[in-house]
Amino acid sequence: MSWRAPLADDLEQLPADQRRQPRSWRPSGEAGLQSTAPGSPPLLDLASNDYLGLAAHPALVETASQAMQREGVGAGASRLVSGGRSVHEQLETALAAWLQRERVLLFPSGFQANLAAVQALADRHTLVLADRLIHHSLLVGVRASGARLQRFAHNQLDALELRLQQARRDQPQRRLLVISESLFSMEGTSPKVSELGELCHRHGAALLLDEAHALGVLGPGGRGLGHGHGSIAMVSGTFGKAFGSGGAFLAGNGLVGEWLLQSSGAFRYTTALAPALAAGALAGLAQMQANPTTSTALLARAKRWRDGLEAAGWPRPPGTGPILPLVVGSDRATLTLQQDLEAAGLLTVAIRPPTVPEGTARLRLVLRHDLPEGSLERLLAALGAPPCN
Amino acid sequence: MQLIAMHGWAGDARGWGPFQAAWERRGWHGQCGDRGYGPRPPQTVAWLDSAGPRVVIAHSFGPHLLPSHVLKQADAVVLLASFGRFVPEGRSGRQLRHALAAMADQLRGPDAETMLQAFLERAAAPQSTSLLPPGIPTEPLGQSGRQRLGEDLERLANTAGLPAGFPTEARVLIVEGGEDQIVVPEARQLLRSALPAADTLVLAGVGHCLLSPALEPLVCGWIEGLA
Repeated sequence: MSWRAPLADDLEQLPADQRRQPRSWRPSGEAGLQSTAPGSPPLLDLASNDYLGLAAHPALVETASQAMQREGVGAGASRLVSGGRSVHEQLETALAAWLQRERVLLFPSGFQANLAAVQALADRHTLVLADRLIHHSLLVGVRASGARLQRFAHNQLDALELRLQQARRDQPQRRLLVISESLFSMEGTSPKVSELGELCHRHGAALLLDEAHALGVLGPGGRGLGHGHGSIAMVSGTFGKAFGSGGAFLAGNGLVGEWLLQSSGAFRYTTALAPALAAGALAGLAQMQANPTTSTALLARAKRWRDGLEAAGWPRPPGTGPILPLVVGSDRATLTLQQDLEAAGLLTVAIRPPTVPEGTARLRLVLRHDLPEGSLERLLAALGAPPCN
Repeated sequence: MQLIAMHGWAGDARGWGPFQAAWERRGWHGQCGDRGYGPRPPQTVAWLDSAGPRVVIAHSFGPHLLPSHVLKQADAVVLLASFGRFVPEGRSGRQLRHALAAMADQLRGPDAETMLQAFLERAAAPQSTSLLPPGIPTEPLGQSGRQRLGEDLERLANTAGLPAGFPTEARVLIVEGGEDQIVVPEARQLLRSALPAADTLVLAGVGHCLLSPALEPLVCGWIEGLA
């Protein structure tokens, strides 16, 4: 059998309307994106994760440009060969101080950081208890670690506690790892992180918290919901969202940092983060520190949007952060609504099964700090009445 | 836009290199004062008659080294890891006063350069001194430089508040290093209290020398916002 056959079979089973096609965009005006397809109009960006609108901020562009002039485009090697630059250390030191964690290590992507995090905290003897909706990268990490996986209902700490009790009864000395996120990217929801940490501590389980979507937005000064909770073994974060740059990091204590440095293939055997991205992330962090009220203003705006959508008859999007999932129901209706919004100048993304459960297809609305005034009114006008009305 | 920059104790004008390049890119006119600690002669500064906002940017002891008439005519001031009063009053300042006296003794003896190197290591920490721009420890210390360092150490120890001529109506940006090992927290707090309307930024993970590639674009962005 040809090596091609399984791939072709897989693709044949994928209905044409479920095949994804990447599109290309360029920034356009205030919080805008414009498709590079000829004749495309500029759209208001309600889709990207550039929550603080920093990706095109002049200070980030200048800092990254200068780093590129100084250091070149790529690092050229891994951190342990010759790819390390002072800007990597500066970023790690700054993040560790900001997050009040002993050690931070940089990774080229969030996916890679999550793989490394799970492999540091779990092996084939470990039982991993993971929220049902954790990111794919974390699941791949669990698979790669060889650990046994059990999933608990989304944000249901009672369900988690039952599993922890059971696990401790079955094997009192077993290594346990709990994985969750502080802001779920498709749901907009958050667990009670303090209770989650306390629960893990009580049962002797390590806690890995993915803060990719929360950093810069949630928690004190945007430091994430895990900030100040010493019971968290490791925090995972990315620079590709609120930080306005690219790349990712893991933060933890000195022991876990040293283990990653000495043993993690995902850290050791990859070209170091491009210096310009590290410099851009440092500049993004400086902007967050210089403007600590930006995140609170964004959350206040998110509340107004939730209120507005609810008042217009839509189900109130759960959570408090800048991700507002607007549940529509059927695939077809959601796609049609996405296209209607795009025709009205609003860029949103329809999230459909299998990414979310059947019958809960949704539009993922994402707020940016720099959305112009009147954006909510534009959205409500374009949405019209909810389908059930 | 006109800018006057002033280094702090044991610094010199070369430290403003990255800033000068950024000002040139923006078409701003900048002057950098130099106290003459190193081989460069002292360089005084004065505002030009041309229109446009006048901005002072000074590191650490820098504002105290500027003439009062320069400070007085500034429309905006950027204070980098700076202070009004360096040695806090009472018991908390006693240890610092002893340390300054010991530094003054070393300046007069054969260990002056070793002392300066140790000072710069603390000023750069947690970053390495290799990230510092070229400065006076790279060259032998001359007699006049040694004398000025000694005089200014005494002035620094006796600072009691904002320097003479400080424009209290001006817009002010205070940037602190979260890991500053030179300006004690009480001195930082005194400065913030003296300038309650200032914009304040504490940069995490950097020390007294504020060694971050993000600093210059951030400060220049704040200055651009004045226009």
